[in-house]
Amino acid sequence: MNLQRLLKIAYSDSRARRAISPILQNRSVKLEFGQRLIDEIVNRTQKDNVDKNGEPFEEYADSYTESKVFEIYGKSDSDVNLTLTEKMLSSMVVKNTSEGLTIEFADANENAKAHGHIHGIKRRSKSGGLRKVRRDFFGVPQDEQIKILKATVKDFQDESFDFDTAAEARDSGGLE
Amino acid sequence: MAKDFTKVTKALDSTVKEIVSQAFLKVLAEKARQIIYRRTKSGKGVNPSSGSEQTLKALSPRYIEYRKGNFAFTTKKKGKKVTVNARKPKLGEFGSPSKSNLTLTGEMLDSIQIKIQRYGFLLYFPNTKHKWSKRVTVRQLAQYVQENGRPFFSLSQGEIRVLLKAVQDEVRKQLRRI
Repeated sequence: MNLQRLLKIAYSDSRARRAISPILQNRSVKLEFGQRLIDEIVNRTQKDNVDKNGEPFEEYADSYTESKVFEIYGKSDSDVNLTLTEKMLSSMVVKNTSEGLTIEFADANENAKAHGHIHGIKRRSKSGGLRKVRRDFFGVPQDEQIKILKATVKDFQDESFDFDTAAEARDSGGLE
Repeated sequence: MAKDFTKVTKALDSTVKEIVSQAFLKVLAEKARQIIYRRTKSGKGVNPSSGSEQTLKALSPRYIEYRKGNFAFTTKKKGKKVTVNARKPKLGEFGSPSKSNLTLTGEMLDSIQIKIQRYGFLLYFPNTKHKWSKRVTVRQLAQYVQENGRPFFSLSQGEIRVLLKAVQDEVRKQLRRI
């Protein structure tokens, strides 16, 4: 994600942009902004059960809802939240880049699992034919990105959030 | 047999440690207990050298027959050979005769205990008699299972990440209030 490009869209006033630009160079602020984007993805997926475009996720296959593992993890057919062990959504991490930041999966297996959801996996439908089931949870619409960016900048200006300690927690836990 | 999960919080800086409350550690410990319970019930353990999840070693055909209640053994009674049917076990939650998920009666996995420490927590098996076997304690049984081809009592890398994410979320929640 290119933060300077997002800044231009978020703030039409060039003076405001000049004032905010240095804030977005701050590593702790960048990482917290990225973390808030992850929070948005996780909350939307787990609580609202909708994809990045606001569309409800397709129902789980009967073979999955009737499986033992589904029962062991106490899941409900009606709660399509892409969460069984929590490992996939927990493995999303923010990386600091020269242009801004990226969000990626820290584990190759979880990355593959996410890839299947995002791009779709071929499944046999009840009528017998093959079709792709996609549940594209990975992303945040631009207007939502702007809202989160402005809230993050405001927290920094108001000193209402301890960005450095948050970064410390992230770093020491090996989460980046 | 105890597993010290202070390492989950040990990595955190002292400032962060002070933010994490005892109440939250209890929630975290319960989450860790549930992770091990559910993963094991699903038939998976953790490879001790790689830290990745692996399917638990399959049950032997003889043991499957025993779990089905089809097992009999011969013994001598007053000098005569007699055949005795082994008592059929009542399988525990999510147990099935051929599924390798460390569930015969369910007593072992149901008995994982939690102890909260200052900056972390401990998961352990109590040293009480195992009701089904009567000869060993739950702790001895868990240790035997762990050391004889079905390691299950630890967290995989992915599971540690789930717990660390919970810690990180809690810390950030607290930092918003400051």
